Amino acid sequence: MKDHRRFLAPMDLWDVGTVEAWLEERAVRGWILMKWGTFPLFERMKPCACRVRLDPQGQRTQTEQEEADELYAGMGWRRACPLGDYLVYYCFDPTAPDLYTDPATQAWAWEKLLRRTIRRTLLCLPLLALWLFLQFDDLWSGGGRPVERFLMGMWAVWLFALWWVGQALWDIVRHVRGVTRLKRRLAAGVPPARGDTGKAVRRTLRHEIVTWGMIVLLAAFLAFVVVGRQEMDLADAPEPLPYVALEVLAPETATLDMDIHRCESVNSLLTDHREIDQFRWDGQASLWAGLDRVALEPLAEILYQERVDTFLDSWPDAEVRQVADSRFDEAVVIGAGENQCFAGRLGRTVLAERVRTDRDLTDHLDGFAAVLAEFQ
Amino acid sequence: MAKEPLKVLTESMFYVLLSLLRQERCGTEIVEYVDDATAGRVPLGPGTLYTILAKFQEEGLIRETAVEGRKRTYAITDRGRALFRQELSRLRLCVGDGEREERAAERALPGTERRELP
Repeated sequence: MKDHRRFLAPMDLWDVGTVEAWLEERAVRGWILMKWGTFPLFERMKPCACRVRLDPQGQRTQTEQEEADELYAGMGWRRACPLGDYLVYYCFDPTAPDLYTDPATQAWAWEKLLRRTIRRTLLCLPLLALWLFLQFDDLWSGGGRPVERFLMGMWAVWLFALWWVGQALWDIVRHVRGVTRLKRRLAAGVPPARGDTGKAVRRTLRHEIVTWGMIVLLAAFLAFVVVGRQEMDLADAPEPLPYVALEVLAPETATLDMDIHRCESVNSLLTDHREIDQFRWDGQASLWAGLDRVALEPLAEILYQERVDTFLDSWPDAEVRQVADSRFDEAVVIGAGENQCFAGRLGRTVLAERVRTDRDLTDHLDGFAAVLAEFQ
Repeated sequence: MAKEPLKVLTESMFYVLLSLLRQERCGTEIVEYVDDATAGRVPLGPGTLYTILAKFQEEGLIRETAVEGRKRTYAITDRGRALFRQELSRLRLCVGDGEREERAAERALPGTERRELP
């Protein structure tokens, strides 16, 4: 028979009456608290009815705490362990007076702790806001291509951050409301209310399942993206390739040996992204192409717009020509000296290509249209 | 915000001050004294006693006179005595009001009973 066991405990520590009642139920079943946590550790003892009280820790020195413990012990109250901002006391003597026999003094004992709890809880708000702000840094900084990052997997992280902050805010609201109610009760001379312990534990269970479920989902998604990501030499990439080749767009540089020629593919559920990079370090030749098959057409529209904006950010003085062609839902050719760009969208597919050449890319609209049609 | 000084004492606070009127006492002696003096009518829990002693010290109503190991002895201060007297007067007034009203009620009672008889 095991001498130690862990139980799932109520999580709302401001609901002290319910936590006390739950610890008393454990004692009736023969378990005394050893160490607090989400799954507190209990030690086996002889099953017995007893009283359990949570006493605010206050700011006692070690000597003062030892003196208090001795005084408490002399009056039948034994200290078990700390529990958050409280100390847990057990009393096995039914004739011993309660820990607090005067509600006014109980209110004094709790006053500082409750004030501190509210202050600390409210202090969490700006920290949460800061954390959330940093999570969405890409959106504010402007240079991070947020739509692409969103589609490439950050959507899951941002969704998790929003959910987490929402849940934290809800907990803060409940916490402040609970502590305020407790303050009022104690000030009115009413001891802490004892709620339904079963309900409190079920709430913890639900909370744990949802939290860990979300963490596991996020981890599984990130693993799916990382494991599913493929990077290979362009020569090894499976046909058809999602771009119009350098040999077609800039045959004068295609014969040069490239320092980098690679193909990369990433699937992040919201987009199936393929990217091709070919370039020489000396800058004589370069090509970048990105093709995305996006889950929803509105997302494809904003990705297309971001691709165009990214080109224009790099070459603000470039000549922009809108393409009116029924083979594209929208398309544009951007020319900036030796850098020529094309961006086009057909349905949920977005193709963007930039190549170092002085040739006009409008001559290759057939090629771009064929790629978009093939990858629908 | 300035703290409101103690004006009215609860029964437990009153008896803690009372226990120190004649002599200095430590925590357990205070509990024993209050238990004897009230024949167990006013129970003094350890949390309550500890909080009262800390608050009274903070308010300057009592002071620590000796520390022997973990045993601390307390004595009442002049301020504590003054508050005790003030509370005693308040209680006397309460008792006086209560007794006067009760006597008046007793005098009125027979008439009331007669009126209620058929």
